[in-house]
This record gives sequence, structure tokens and C-alpha cells, in this order.
Amino acid sequence: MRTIGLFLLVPWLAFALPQPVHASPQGSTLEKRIMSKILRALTPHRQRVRVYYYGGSTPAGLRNNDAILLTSQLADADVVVLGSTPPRTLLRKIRQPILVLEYGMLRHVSRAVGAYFWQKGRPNIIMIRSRLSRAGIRLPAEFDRYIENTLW
Amino acid sequence: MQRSLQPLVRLTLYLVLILLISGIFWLAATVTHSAGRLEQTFIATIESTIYQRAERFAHQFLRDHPGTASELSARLLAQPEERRRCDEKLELMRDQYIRYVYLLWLDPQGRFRFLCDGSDDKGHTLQKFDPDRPKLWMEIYRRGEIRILDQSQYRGLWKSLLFPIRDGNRTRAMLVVDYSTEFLTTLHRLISPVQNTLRTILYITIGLALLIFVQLLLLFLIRNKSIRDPLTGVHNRGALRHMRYSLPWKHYNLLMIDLDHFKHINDTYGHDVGDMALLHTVKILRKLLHRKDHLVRHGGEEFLIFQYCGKGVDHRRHGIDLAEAILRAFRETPMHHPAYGEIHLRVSIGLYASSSGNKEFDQVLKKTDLALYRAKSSGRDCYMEVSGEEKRSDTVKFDNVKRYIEQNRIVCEYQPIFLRDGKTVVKYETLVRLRQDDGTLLYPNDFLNAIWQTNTYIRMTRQVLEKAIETFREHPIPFSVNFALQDLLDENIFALIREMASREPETISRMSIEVLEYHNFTNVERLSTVLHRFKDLGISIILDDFGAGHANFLILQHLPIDEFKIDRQLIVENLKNPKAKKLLIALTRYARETGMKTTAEFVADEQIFRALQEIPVDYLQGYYLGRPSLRIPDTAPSREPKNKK
Repeated sequence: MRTIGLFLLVPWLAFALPQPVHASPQGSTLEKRIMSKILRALTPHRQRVRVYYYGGSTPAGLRNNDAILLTSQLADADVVVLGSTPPRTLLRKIRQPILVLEYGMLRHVSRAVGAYFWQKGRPNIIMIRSRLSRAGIRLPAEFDRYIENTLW
Repeated sequence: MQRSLQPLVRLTLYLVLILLISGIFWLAATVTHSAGRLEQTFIATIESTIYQRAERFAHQFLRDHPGTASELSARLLAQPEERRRCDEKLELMRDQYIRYVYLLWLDPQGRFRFLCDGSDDKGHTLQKFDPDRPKLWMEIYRRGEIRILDQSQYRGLWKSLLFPIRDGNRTRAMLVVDYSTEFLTTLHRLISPVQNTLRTILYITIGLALLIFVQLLLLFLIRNKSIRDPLTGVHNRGALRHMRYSLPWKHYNLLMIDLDHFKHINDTYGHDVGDMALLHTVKILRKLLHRKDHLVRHGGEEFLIFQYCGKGVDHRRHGIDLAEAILRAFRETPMHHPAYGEIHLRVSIGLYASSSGNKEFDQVLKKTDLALYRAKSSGRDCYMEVSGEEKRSDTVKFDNVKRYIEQNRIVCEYQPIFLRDGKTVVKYETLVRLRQDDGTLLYPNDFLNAIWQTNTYIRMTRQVLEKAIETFREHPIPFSVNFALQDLLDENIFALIREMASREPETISRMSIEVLEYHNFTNVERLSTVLHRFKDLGISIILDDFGAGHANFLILQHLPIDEFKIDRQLIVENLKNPKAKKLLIALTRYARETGMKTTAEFVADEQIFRALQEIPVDYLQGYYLGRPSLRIPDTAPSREPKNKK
């Protein structure tokens, strides 16, 4: 049996090249996990966060995510996620915490409490302390390293 | 030949399979190794280039941007032009492999912040940057240690060069170069299908090899079971088929051992005791055998021992020692039965010492069988050796004879037997021949030994009888068929003749059995019983070759004999020796007075024929009067003797 095992193991080792870049575990699973974590932190009382999304195509982190329920009615949402800057009329209607998906949008959407975006191939999270306080949101301690006092 | 090739074919198959697997494995390993080498060379080249660029940038940076990092950050915030110049310098570092190049500052709160950025997705000055392992990055930053970190967990990235820019003992900023290797991706994309294909082929081949291995294992297990005798656990005839091609014969003696009076044991004590006797036999034989010897149950109560003789061993002496040891062991070790007490077993042994002579297995087996037969005939509980002359004798191969008989190549010739006038045919003697592949005929002396005491012999007897009956059904004349005495003792042959007698009573009533090979048989009572069974079927009994050699006159008195043929030696002797003539006259008179007929054989020429005219013999037979022929003339020939020798 041991011989058979070795017989199978040796050829397998022969093919053991380093994993190629494009094949690394990545993408939607990680994105879903991060998105769920941020949105749950923003609405701790909700088991399943209802999200209203505005902006181009729905990001992978929001699609088919068990922790998130996408809603088309702004009023039903717990959190609003903005993929692009919405018109002022819509912005005025938003009462929920806003999460933007670009760093630059933090400047344009003054009520956005934070941003989650990919930069240099890595996920980045930035939460603005003053905006969180204004929205009455208290994030768990594990988010401390993402909270910024100033928006640079 | 075909069987002896099997191991070679199997070995070749294994070799081909091993070569195939090795070939695929070698190919796969070569592809993998070459790809690995290419990758390493490529990485070494690219990393060396990146390192040189980073070093050059650090040197320029320290020269162009004096002051602390916080001062620099304040300047960069206040003076977008300085930031732009810094970005441009970083951009210059980029090429097709470097995806991102940026300058970070670790603020007092332990957060990395962008100072400059030469990438497309530029970070804002002092914007926070989240590395994947912040503690490690901070340690590298603080210690000023240049490190390359694996970043392949991120899409599009492969490695990051962390290059702290030191001003004395203090790190002012850290240059980060993320390089992605499209080339490697392409390389992998190129090699992967080749590797996958090879891997698939390799796994299929290994799967096949495993399948073959499992099948061979099963075959081995089944074969191992099938070549063992379930009662005694020793090898059976199946094993013999394998051994005959695999054993190096020149190193082995063959001993054929037969348990004496086994039928009597079975009949007297029952089959359970018979089985016990076989087990007892195996137990004794095993004790006497060495590691390289082989014991085979050849069938019934017959065993074969293949006795290994090493180099320099006298085969004959070695074989005789074992035969004697076996006989002694059986004499000294009776079988104990709880009900019947001690039962003494004896064996007879045929020995073929292998140092010289014929090595064809069937021939060896046949000759050893004949030696065993001689041992049995000589009173049992002894061994008989195949003599040097017997070993050298070239008998026809059993397989060939068997094939001829299976292909119905038996030819019957009929030799006329005349009244003493030499003109009137009174009956015919049936003589068996086999037609060979080249059309020539084989005579009984050439092939009977090869098939003696085999099913083929019974089959041949049946065919000869059928041919004779078919012939003489149409020719209403008496005829005779030759049988060795052992044939008449064989129940199968008796059953065969009885069956024919019930089918063809008229033809069989004209048939005589000519008994051959009876000289050594001493149990006249038994012989009488056997012959009476045939007489009861209406068959006449003729004794062949009587009057010379071991002629036993008791036989004439006690057996139900209708006729005897006078031995050729006496007929020839008659020509020159007056005593022989007187003996012939006495014999023929005795026969007449006791109601028996006599035939003088070997009437080969006119001189013999004339000489026999003075003897009151009843019938004459010989080439001078009539040669054996394939056909019986429609009317029995009445002829003049030929005037030739």
C-alpha cells in the first residue's frame, strides 16, 4: 500500500510548480467577507443587512451574499452603498449610513461614513470618525485601525 | 513453446509499461524542471533590475527631498508640484512587470500613508494604506531591512519589494514596488495544458498499471488456490503444468510415488481412512524433502517429487537415497487410526535421475511412469529406476500421438491367417497404425508406450474396436484384436467391449482377443476371472507369443484359452534345431488334445512354410502368405503361396 502511495505521490510532486498568480484564492469570496463585516458593523442590530445600492453594476461583494439583502426601495434599506456619486435629489433622500466604494467619493459625499475600495490590488477600508459619530455609529474595536480623524 | 513464452511476453509487457511510465514521468519532470529554471532565471533578472532601480531612486530621494518624513509630507501636501515630481520619478521605474510603485510613510500612530505614487491608481498624499500584514511591514520599516514579500494571494500581484529609505539610522520612507509577472502567467498558461495532459496520461497509465497489478494479484491468488490440492495442501496437476515450463530440469530428479493397495484401503476401511492415508503419505514425504524440492499430487494416490540436485551432486545417488529413505520411512511409520489401530502403508517408486538423457517433460514423466509400473509389477514396496538406455530411447511424443488419435488418424490393417495349407484364409488379425503428418505410418512399438495407461490409450482402443467392427460387419469372417493384459484388467476397456457386444452381438461373437504382455503376470486365478468375463461375452481368447521366453505352461492349464500363437523364436529355431521341431510337435499335439488351436506366426519365407508343413499346427500367419492390408477382399482369398523369399 505504501508503495502504491509513493507511486502516486512522486509524480504529483513532479508537477508541484508554484501556484500561478492568477490562480490564487481571491475575488468574490474575500470581497463578500469584507463587505459583510463592514455592513454588519454599521448595522449591528440586523441579522441580515438590507442594502440599497446605487452605481454601475452591483459589486461581487453584494451579490449572492447570505449576510446581505439587496433592496430596490431606499426606504427599506439599512445601509446605502454608493458605487458612483448619485444625484443630489437622491442624496437628500438618504437617511441611512452611506458606504462609498471609491476613496475620492468620500470628498463628494459628505455624509458617507466610510469607504471600502481596492487599491494597488489590495482591499482598503477607511472610516471617518466624525461622520461615524454624526451618524451615531459605534464600530467594534477591530475597526480602530481603519478609522481616520482626517480625510486627506 | 507457447507456454514457455508466456513469462517472456509478460516480462516484456511490464518493461514496456515501466518504460512508458518512466518516459511520461521523465517528460513531465523535464517540463516542470525547465519551467522552474526559466522562472527562477526570470525572477532573478527582474528582481535584480528592480533592486537597482529602487537603490537609484532612494539615492535621488534622499538628495532631492531633505528633512524628516513629516516635513516632507507637509511639503508634499502644500506643494503639489513637488508631489508631481516625486510621482514622475517613481513612474520612471515602471515597466511591463512593475505594476505599482509608491512611497509610504509610517506615521506615529503606526499607519502607513502615501507620500508619492507612481502607479495608475494614485493614492492621495497621506492617504492611509492597508498592507496585508501590517506588523511585518512596520517591522521592516523600522529595522530598515530590504525584503521581498510574496503577494500572490492578491489578484494581479506576485511579489513586493519593500525598500526602506534610510537616512543614517532612521527610515525616512519606504519604497514599495509591486511587481506582477505577466510573463510567468503566460508561461504557466503555456505549460499548464502540457502538464495537465501529461498528468492525465501519467495517471491513466498508473491507473492501468495498478489495474494490471490488481488483476495479476487476483490471478496469483486464484492460481495459487487452483494449484493446490484441497485435501493435502500440496501442489496439484495444475501446478505441474506451470512447473514443467519453469523448473530447470537439469537440476532435478523425478520420483513418481504410488501408494500401494490404495484401493484396498479405501474398500476395506472407507474413504475417510483413504484420505487419512493420503495425508499420512504427504506428511512422511514432506519430512524427507528439502526446501528446493517440490511435491505434487499427480492424481489419486500418485505423487511426484521433483528432487533438487545442486551442483556437483551425483543425481543418481541422490535420487536413490531419497527413494530408499521414502521406502524406509513408510516401513517404519505406520498410520495410526483410532478405530483400526496401526495401518501399514507401502509405496512403489519410479525414479528418473536427471543427470543425463531426455529432458522432454512428457517423455520423462512417461518413462518414470513405466519405471513405477515395473516397481508395481515386481511386487511393490520398492523403487525402479529409468535406465540409461530407456532415457536415450526416442519414443514418439505423447502430444503428437494424442493429436493423431484426436484427428482420427488411426489406420487398421488386417493380416490374413491361413489354414496350414497356406491357401485358405480363416480369419484376420487387426493391426493398428497411426498416420503421421508426413503420411508415413507409425507402428505400435513407436507409440504405445507414449500413451500407455492414459485416456488417449482408451480412446485409441475404442477407435480400433469400432473400425474393426465396422470392417467385419460387412465381412462375415472371424477376426482378432490385440490387447495387452493390462488392457483387459482395465474396467473402462471391459465396459467398452461389453457395450459393443450388446450393440453388435453377431460381430463380437466372431471376435477374438489376442492377449499380449502377459508373461510377467503371476496371479493366474485373477487372470482367469478376467478372461472369463470376456469369454462370457462370446469372445475367444488367443495367447500371443507363446513358447519362448517366460512361457508358463500353468497358464495353458488354468486359463480359458481357445488358441495360442507360437512364438517366432520357436518357428525360426525349427529350421535348424531338431529339438525345437520336437517341442513344436509336442506343443501342437498338447493343444489339440486339450481343445486349443495353434497358429504359427512369422511365416516369412518359403523355407519356414515348408518346414511348418511337418508340424501339426492349425493356422499359419506371415508375410510369405499374406501381408497386412487396409482392405479385406470381398471373398476370402484362397491362394497359392508365393514363390519368393
